[in-house]
Amino acid sequence: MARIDIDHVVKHYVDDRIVQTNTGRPALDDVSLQVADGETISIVGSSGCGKSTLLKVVAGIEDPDQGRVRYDGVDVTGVRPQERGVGMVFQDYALYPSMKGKGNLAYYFDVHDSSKEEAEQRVRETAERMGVGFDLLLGQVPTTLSGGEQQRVAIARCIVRDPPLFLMDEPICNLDAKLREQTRVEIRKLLRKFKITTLYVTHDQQEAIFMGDRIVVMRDGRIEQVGTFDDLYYTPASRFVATFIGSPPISVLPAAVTDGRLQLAGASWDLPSPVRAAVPDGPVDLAIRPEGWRLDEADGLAVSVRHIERLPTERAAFAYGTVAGRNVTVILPVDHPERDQLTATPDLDRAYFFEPDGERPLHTPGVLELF
Amino acid sequence: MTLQQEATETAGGAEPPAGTESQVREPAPSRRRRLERALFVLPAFSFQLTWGWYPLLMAFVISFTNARVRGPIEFTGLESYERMWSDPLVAEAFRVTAIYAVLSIGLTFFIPIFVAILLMEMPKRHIRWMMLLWFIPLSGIASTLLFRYMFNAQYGLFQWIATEVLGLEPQPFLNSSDQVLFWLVFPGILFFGPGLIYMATLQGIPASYYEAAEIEGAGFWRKMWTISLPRLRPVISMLLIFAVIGSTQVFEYPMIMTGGGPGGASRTVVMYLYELLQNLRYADATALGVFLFIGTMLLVIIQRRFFREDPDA
Amino acid sequence: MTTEAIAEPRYSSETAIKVRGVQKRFGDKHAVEDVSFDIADGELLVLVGPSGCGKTTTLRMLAGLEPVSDGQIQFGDRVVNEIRPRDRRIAMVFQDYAIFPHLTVFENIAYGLRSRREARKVVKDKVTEAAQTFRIDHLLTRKPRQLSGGERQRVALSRAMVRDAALYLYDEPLSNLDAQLRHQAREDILTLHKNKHRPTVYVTHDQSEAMALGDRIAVMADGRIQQIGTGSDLYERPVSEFVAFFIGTPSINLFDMEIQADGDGAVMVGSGLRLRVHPSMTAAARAHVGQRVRMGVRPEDLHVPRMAPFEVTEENTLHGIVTLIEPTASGCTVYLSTAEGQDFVATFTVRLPNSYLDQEIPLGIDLSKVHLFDADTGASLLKGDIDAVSR
Repeated sequence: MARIDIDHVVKHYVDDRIVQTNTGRPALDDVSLQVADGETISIVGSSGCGKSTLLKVVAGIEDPDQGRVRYDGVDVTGVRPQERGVGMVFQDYALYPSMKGKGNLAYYFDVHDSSKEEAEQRVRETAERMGVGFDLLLGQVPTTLSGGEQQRVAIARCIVRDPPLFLMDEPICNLDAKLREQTRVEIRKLLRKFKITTLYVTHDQQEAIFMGDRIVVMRDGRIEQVGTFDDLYYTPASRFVATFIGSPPISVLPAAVTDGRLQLAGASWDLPSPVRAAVPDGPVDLAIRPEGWRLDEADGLAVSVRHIERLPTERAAFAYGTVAGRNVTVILPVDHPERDQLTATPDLDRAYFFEPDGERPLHTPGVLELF
Repeated sequence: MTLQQEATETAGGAEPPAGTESQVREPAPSRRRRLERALFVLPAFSFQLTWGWYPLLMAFVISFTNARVRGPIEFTGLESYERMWSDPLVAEAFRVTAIYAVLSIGLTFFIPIFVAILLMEMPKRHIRWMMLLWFIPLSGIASTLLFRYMFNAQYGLFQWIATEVLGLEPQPFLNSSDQVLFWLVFPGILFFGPGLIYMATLQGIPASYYEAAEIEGAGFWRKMWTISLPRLRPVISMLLIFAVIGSTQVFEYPMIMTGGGPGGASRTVVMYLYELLQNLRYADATALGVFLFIGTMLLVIIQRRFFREDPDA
Repeated sequence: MTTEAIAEPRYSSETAIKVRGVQKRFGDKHAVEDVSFDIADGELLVLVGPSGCGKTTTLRMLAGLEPVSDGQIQFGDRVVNEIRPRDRRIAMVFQDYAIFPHLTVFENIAYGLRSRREARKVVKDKVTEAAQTFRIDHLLTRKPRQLSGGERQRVALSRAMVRDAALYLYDEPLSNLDAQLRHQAREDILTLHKNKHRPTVYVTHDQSEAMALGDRIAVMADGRIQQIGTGSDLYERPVSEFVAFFIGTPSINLFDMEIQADGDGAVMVGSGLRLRVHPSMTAAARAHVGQRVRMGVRPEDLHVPRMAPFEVTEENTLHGIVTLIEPTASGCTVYLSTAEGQDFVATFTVRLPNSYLDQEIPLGIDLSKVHLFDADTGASLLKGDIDAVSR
């Protein structure tokens, strides 16, 4: 177990043809992150945002151009990956295909000249702690295991050597949806049980929310925001985070404020006082989540509906439509009648305000008071 | 995720302006890793230097001398080049080599492309058998010797096929100055040339391309023109260079089968060069070598210029 | 060149699709066993199931990419079993999009039209219009490598858009897209579908995608269709434990119980629970007194007692130790474990504070919404109810 300290890391990818010139932006642009002992951090972002590069820098597969990486305060920058002892789990499992599950677990001890008894003992202990039915997996060669089972063996193979740090790069994205749902619960429980410091990279925001004690949102080599789900969802640090977190995504509408009233598509409403204090008069971008609308009120906006998606499994329906030429999504009761027109009022207590066409939030609603 | 994936991700993610997408990015290595890489390259590099570049350079130097086995060696400027330029045998050797190259590239390089595409239409199982047959390792020299006997105008297998099976007049085969170059190329057709590489490449094309084309109404020819050939292009382009170099430098087949005959009809440039060496005309031989080198380089440059390698850019 | 465009086949006026007892064997392995269904004109049918269930094979048989081992596929009144894919008049969107990397976006979209030697003008107009619909008209001269994943997917959709096909097929078209792009992509697919209003088959392993897109959904497993119906049919009236488990996320919780008579009513005993059977199911339950059953409880039907829409008593309470809490936009998902060590899941519309981790909490089960399955066969014991609905 270890505390991880990523300190102002910069990483460039050199353009191969014109040596020594960096045309593009750096893959990692001044990234700093502290991971507490035993904490699981998920790193999420779209492809090319630098999340995998960050993982490689922490693992030592890539050296940073600038900045340091410390494990428990010890500077490991430049230390080879095999000397750092981190456990890595990738999407393609990377089990030794010719060995049974048990051989895969014991392999580390074979190459590190441990005694047979010690290896046996560690494998047995880990198998017990991995939970029900795990010893059954140990007797099989990887090709006969399902994707989820292979990934459990891969994780056990890391756990058995007691790594200071776990690094997982999209470990379950090759599994089908149902299996993914089960396996992520499995992994989360193991991480909680073994209290191993973990960095978990994924492109799936729901998976990131589930796996991480805290979530890092990355974009173009920079960390946009670090925080819990509530932080990201209710107090996003930028428009990017607001649109990235939440599914279906938040809708953004250009509006204007005059004398404390919000003007939008011919309608207007009084701003609540905390919003009025933060949002100056003039143009503003209003962002509303699907659940941030009130239906069928007199002062509502006309939403022309393109289609309604009914999800009995979520006990909700989503109306996809347009207001003043902009796409909006409105959550409806699952049994809401089919219509091509809705009247919806933005709930300004739950709305987000951004500077027009900019990234900076002017006001965010903060966590809802439920009780 | 592999390094490569991340690299392409970084390159392709943010929709860079046209022209920069294809540039492959590599991680900037630290000084220690640069040193490690250099160490790995060193053995191959020093071999290449000793056995590749040094002799080339020496040959170039020798071509400007009057080098011989005994006696003082003096620089004689372009004398040997002038001699070679006006030697009618050189012109003849270049003519023979050019015809050989055209025949060989046409018959053993381009034909297999279409044969390979046709073969891919066969059931998977059969393809595997065919590939296995072509994979049987044969010594080039041994099989060439064998072919020499089969081409024998009196008792050879091909004469039997020509007269008994096809009912033709007895053929002269290697004894005819008109036919000899074709029969030299002929074994190459049977060996399928680079066909195996074409087949391996074709097998790497995602099946969904052909399926999508089929669903979109494409027949065999359209699929060949719009999918198989474009996907083969990088391989064809690369192998063509080897084929050009290989056929302009051909030596062992005419050497074993005909010794350059009849009457010099199969004496290629390299064969003539070999004869010059046997007559101890080192300077002339190296000068001829330089001619050949320049000629081949020109062909390669033309090929590179007109045959775009990356079909996806 | 003034050659006539090659005409595509016409099927009888109702272009509905009929699949009758279709089978597919690979060697002696059955990939698809006896699948039958109809698709009405303009209907979007989703085939959903875990990997290896035969859904993709079924789709490929509809496309003609796999020969049918047994049974019949009809387009209109014409049996198409022996007809080649290119003569079937179908359009398909592949999982990897199958757009040709060496052709420009324009040529990719135009591919099918060119195969049929459409006039130059027609090709240009149709391609431009489709590209505009899917917002890629500014990319027509690019090569696919220069496109993002979402744009490539829209090229594939445009290629289907320019066609006038009798059947549209989708093979997991969203599985290579980032989550944020999927909502938009789903809308694009529906745009295409509504524009064409033709029979459509969509294959996915993701039940939430199936729920969002399908007019009807066929759940497949082991080469058979387990149940076919609308999303709410499958969710509310699953015919088997498999369907109940497959539809809905998080999955339905299953408990081993035994049914016992209790006066006029019935109770379920087991897994450390003793629950009264809801009056609406008493008749069905009393037919299985003394039998082992599996009780399915959806995570949404477990309620915090104070907020339950029904009275929570000893006879409908489940106790669990909280092991994980996952925040969601609408509340949270709570993973719990009973004293017997059985794991189960509940979803709440409020946020459970982290202080409840490792604590035991009581939850009220909405017994009017539980499902009962035969412990051996997995068949629903409330089947009378279902038959009434699906006929």
